[in-house]
Amino acid sequence: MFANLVVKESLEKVAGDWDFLQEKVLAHFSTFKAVGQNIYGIRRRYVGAAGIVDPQKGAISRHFEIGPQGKIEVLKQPLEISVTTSGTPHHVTHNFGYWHVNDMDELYLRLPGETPDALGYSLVIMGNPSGDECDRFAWYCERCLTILFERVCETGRLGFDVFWKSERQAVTDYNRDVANRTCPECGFINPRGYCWAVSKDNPEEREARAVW
Amino acid sequence: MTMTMDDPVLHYSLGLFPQGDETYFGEWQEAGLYWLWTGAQPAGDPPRTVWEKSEKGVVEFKADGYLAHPILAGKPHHIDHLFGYWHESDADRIWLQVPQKESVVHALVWGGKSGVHKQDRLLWLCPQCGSQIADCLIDTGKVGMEGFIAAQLDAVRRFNFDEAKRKCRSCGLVHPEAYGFYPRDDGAAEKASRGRW
Repeated sequence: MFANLVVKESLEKVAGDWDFLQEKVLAHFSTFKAVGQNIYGIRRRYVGAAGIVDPQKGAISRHFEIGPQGKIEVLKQPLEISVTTSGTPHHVTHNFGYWHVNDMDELYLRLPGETPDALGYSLVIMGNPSGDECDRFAWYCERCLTILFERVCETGRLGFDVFWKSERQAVTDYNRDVANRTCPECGFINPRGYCWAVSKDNPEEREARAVW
Repeated sequence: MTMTMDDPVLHYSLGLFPQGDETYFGEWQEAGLYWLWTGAQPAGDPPRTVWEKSEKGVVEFKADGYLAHPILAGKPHHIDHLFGYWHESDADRIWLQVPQKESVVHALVWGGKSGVHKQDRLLWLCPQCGSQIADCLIDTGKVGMEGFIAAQLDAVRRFNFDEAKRKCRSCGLVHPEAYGFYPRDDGAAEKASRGRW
């Protein structure tokens, strides 16, 4: 109905990255990128009924959250929009070696590839934090869930770009002393932490990634 | 997991395809800071078009395959056959398209940032010359998601009621009738209009 009013120039010229799933655009979101009011992470991964497989990390299907009932596993199915609400500590096995506590809601969507062998898409979308809103990197005892260690990243005040440096520092600080990983309540020695990016793993962190 | 009334909600899940007796399909749902809608059309139908008003004119977005298109806050937009007005929100939206064998599933993800969902504006633009014919402000922050749904339908009905109000003051074209978000609310003229634009 609005054909008379349509701009004649190419879409790319007038609208730039208008489809985040286009191959050339996708690369901008391989970690996280803020666009408008949200932050986007979009990755090509194998997505199927059996779970989600990252080419470097392997199976990263097990998503855990901590709430009043303790630690629970949340099944995130392909073709399902799921939202982990703000303030919920969450951890994905072999994907990042800490409990992430986000002041913003996190929305996940996994889309299978067009054929069983083709890579699909994994989308993580979260609100762009502002003001006092923060991200936290936390560790809880695997055996009794006592909080062991936490670092706060002021992403709202400093901007989301500080996230990765802050993550690296938090993991390094946690791993520095075995006392940080030793539960003051039950005495269990927890595995080391590791960062989201495989490329940042040192040998001990690589071992920890394989464990949890 | 057993939860009590006092337990916080840790997560929400919304399948893109309805299963069993789930009734959310085609309905707006609140999931924390996000408002979510999912729907589908037959696979053979032409792809849905997102229209956005820019300084240079109207931009038309459509694709055949997977699509994730951001619609930023403040950008007037219309999605054909989905809502019969141009919508300007204070919250970002993401339009998702997921083709499957027999249908093409769409989702609208709306919001995500704290402090938004306060105000929405509906507009009607002349399809011939682009002039604004009418508009309506909705205080979504006061009325919430359900209130927005009611208010947008009310605005549509007021726009449709008087043909003189739909006549462009610049070029004289009479804008076709508008329609609200949910097809189940359509009267006969609104249903016909939904099929056209």
